Parts: sequence; structure tokens; C-alpha cells
Amino acid sequence: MKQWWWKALGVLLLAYSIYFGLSTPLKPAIAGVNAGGQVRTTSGESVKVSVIGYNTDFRPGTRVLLKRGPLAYRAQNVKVLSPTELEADFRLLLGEKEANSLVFNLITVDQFHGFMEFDAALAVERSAGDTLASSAETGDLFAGVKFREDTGNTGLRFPYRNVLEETIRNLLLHVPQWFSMILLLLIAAIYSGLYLHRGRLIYDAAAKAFTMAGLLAGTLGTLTGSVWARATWNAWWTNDPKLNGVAVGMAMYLAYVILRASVDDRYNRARLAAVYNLFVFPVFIALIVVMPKLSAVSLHPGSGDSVNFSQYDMDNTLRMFFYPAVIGWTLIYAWMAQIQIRLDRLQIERDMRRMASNA
Amino acid sequence: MHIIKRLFLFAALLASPLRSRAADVAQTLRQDGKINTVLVVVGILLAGVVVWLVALDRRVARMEKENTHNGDKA
Repeated sequence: MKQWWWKALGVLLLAYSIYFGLSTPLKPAIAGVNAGGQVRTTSGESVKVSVIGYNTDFRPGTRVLLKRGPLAYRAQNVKVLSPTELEADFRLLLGEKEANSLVFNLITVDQFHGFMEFDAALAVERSAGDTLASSAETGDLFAGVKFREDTGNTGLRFPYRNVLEETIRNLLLHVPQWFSMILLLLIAAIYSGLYLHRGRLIYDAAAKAFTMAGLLAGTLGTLTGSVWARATWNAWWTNDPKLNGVAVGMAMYLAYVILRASVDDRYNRARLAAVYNLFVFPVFIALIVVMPKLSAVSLHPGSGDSVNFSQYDMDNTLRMFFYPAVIGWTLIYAWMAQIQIRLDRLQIERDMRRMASNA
Repeated sequence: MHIIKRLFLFAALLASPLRSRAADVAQTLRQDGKINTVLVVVGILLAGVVVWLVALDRRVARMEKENTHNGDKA
């Protein structure tokens, strides 16, 4: 164990990413209005909107407004029920020139959280005979609000996203599996090339071990993705192009394992496996990276019609742990592969000795 | 305190066969900001490492057996 440092590095990076990935709180946010659904009301009628916060600390003095374009309408009355719950009364009148139905975002402003917005919180329909817009504010929404030093948005916090909620942490657990898998399979393909070039059995052993480690990462990526999909996309498995690509790709790598098992002669097996591996790796990459990007529709960020993760959900706080997680997982899988390679080396050397003593 | 509550929920999810009907699992996965989903994901990753360790253990055991059978003391 001359070179143990990279194994220690792998453990440290993994511990770092998992510790902060699980312990960092989410930013305070408005999780919903009136238990999830959009509030519907008619013009001129009073409506009570209950606002549910996540990780919030609502206090008396919080302002609640409805916003549409440059206009904001202040609540007539705000009642803070608990740190995560408040009620606001609104009475909106649609102007003469406005559409018959308008949708508003809801905003809370206070000294602790600053400014929080919930999209499409309330829809107003026109009733007969109303012509006045009421109590519009167009000035500085923060006027008269004195901000505390320790506002809820400072410090180490992950972004809050609707639907994702706490599962945004899976970004640091599920996605690194795929990054690691691609790196491990790339290393395996390089060793396959080296075997064909040099013909040393240890390269075949390395190709096999890295492929198996990559398959483990892919399997764990699929399983964790399935659990994540159940909580966010509402299904264990969907017809997403990335999922279909992975299913076919994993089947192709399963064929690699079967191919190895079906050939007895060591050198024949090594050569066949190396050729097959060099063929299967680019096809696999095309299936799980290129095809989903080209497809029309995808639930996966960065594929099809979905916005890239790095543009939308990834922020600098997550990035601080995401790349270390990728390197950490890759090093741990490489360690797993290395032990198998060393066992293979022992086996090869023992067989060589036996052949020499039999001769 | 929240973490402890969540760990109990996670343990309940894994341990109790009576609660493991699909609807209940879905319910458990959703509550409390969906943190249980994250804990299940961590559990799966840990299980993956254990599976690899078991495979490695069996392989070493096989090699040890071969060595004693063949009287190879290397």
C-alpha cells in the first residue's frame, strides 16, 4: 500500500459531500397557498389566502402583496398564525381595460426573509359591473422595512424548489453515480485498448474490474433515480429518453459479463471482451448522453426540452459539494476495482508459477 | 430533534412489514419536505457498497479454498 493517499482523499471527499449534503438547511420559502392549490376568487369579493412557509419564521409586521407585472396590491389585513403560517385578506377589483381573468403572484416582505415570491398564487375572475382597481402600490416594496443582520437567506443554504423540496440533496447522491459510471467505463475502455495493444492479462483484469465498478454505479444510479422519481415525478419508472437509454445500455453491458463467462480460454476471453468493450462504450455514451439531448421531450434537466440543471437548480452552494462528490465516488469505486485487480494479479501469478513447475 | 424523528420514520419504513403497502410507502416518502426520499437514497448507496464487499469476501474465500486444496503455500 505505497499509494494510499487517493483512497483517503476519496473517503474525505465523500464524507464532506454527504455531511454537508444532509445537514445544510434549505432556504426559507413559500411552500404553498391554501394547502397547495391556487386561490380562485371573483372581482370585488373578499378572499382569505392562507400562506404556508417552509423553514420560515413569520413574525407580526410581515407584508403580503399580490403582484402582477409592475403592480402590487397590498393585503388589507395580515394575521401571523405561526412561524410557518399566515393569513392575508384581499379584495381585488378588475379595471375596465383589463382581461376578464388575471393571475397574480404572491409576495411576502419582512425583515428576516427579505422578499419571497410564490408564482400564480391567486386567480381573479370578472363579475358584472366592477370597474375599479383597488389599493395598488407601485413604489419600493421594501420601503420602511428594517432588515435584520441574520436574514434567513444568508449562511450555507440550499435553494428551495417546489416539488423537489428536500430531495434537492439527491443531486449530490444520485447524479455523481452517473458521472462516476461514465468515468469508470471510460477507464475500462482505455484498459481494453491497452490489452489489444500490449496483450498483458493484467490490462484485461483492469478492464473487467472497472466495468463491474461502473455497472455497480449505474445500478445504484438507476435505483436511487427510481426512488427520487417516485417522490417528484410520481412514478417509479417513466418513459424518459434517459431512462430508456440506460435500460438498453445496461443490457449491452450485461452482455459483456455474459460474454466473459462463456469463454474458457483466458487469452481468447480477454481479446473478445476487449473488442466488445471498445465497441459498446461509445454506443452507451450515445444512448445516455447524446440521444436524450437530441430528443424532443425529457423530464431530466439538460435533456430534450428541460432546462439545464446548472442553469436552474444548481447554485454555487450545491456546486461546492457536487464536484467533490463526483471525485469522491469515483475514487471509492476505483478503490473497489483496484482490490479486484490485485486479486486477479495474484491469481494470474499463481497460475503462471504452477505452469512453470508442471513443465 | 427533527433528524431523530426522521430517522425513526426511516426505520419504521424499512422495519415494519405491516406498513410496507405501496400507498403507505408513498405517503412516508412524501411527508416532511420529502427528506425520507433522501434517506432511502443514502440507504441504497450503502447497500450497494455492502453488496460489493460481500462479492469480494466470497471471491477471497474461494481463492483461499483453492490454495489449501492444491497445497500451494505461496
